[in-house]
Amino acid sequence: MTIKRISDKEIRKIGRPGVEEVVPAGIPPILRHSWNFARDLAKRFSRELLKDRSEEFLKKLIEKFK
Amino acid sequence: MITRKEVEDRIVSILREQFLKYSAETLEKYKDQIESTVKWYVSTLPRHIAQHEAEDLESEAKIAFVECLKTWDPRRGELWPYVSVRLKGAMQDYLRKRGSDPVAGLYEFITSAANVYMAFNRKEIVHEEVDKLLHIDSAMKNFSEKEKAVIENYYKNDKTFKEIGKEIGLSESQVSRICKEATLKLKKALTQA
Repeated sequence: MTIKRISDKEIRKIGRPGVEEVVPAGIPPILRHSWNFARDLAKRFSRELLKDRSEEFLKKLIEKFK
Repeated sequence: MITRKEVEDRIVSILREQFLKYSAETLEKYKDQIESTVKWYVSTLPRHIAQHEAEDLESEAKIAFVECLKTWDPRRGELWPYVSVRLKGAMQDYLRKRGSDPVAGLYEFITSAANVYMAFNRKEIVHEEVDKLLHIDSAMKNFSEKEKAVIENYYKNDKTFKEIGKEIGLSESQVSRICKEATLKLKKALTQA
C-alpha cells in the first residue's frame, strides 16, 4: 500500500500550535483570547514608525487590561 | 458580557493612543511623500495662487496628516492610501476657506464689479471704465511709484513679476512682496470707499 502526500505544507496537529502562537504568561484572560489580534495590530502600528515599538505597545496594552 | 468586537475595539484604541505619542516619527517617515503630494497639487493651481500659497499648503497638509493618524484604522487598510486622499481634500478646503486671500479676493471683487458694469451698460469692458467704477486711481493716490507700477502692470497689463522686476529694476521676489502688500492696501482702500 502506498501513502500519498496531499499537501506539502507543514502538518500541524490540533492543540499543538507553533512556538510563535504561544500566548505569554501573565496576560489577563480577556486579552488572552484576542492576543494574536493585538500582537498583529501592534506590529502594524509599529511598521509606520521609524523603529519597531511593538513590544513597548504590547506591554502598555497588558497594563491597561489588568 | 463583553463581545470579542468590543475587546478588539478597545485594543485598537489603546494601541492607537500609544502610536500617536510617536506621530512625529510617522511624519518624518512620510515627509517625502507628503512633499511630493503638495508639489503635485501646487502644480495644478493657477500661478498666482501657487506662488503665494505653496508654503502654507505644505503646513496644512502636515496638519491634515497628523489628524488622519488619529482616525486611521489598520484593520481597514494601509496608512498612505487612506491619508493621501485626505491631504488633497485638506489643501482644497484650505484654499476655499481663504476667501479673504488678498489676491484672490481682489480678483473676485474686480470680476463681480465688471459683471455688474456689463449688466447695466451692455458695453465692452475697458480697463478705464472698470477703474472709474472701482475708484482704483483715487484709492492708489497714497501709493508709492513702485507700488503703482507693480499693481498696474500685474493686474492691468497682465505682466509677470519677472517682467515687472526687469522694468523697474527689482528682483522677482521683491516685486511679489510689493504686489502682495499693495494689493492688501488697495483692497482695504476699496472696501472703505
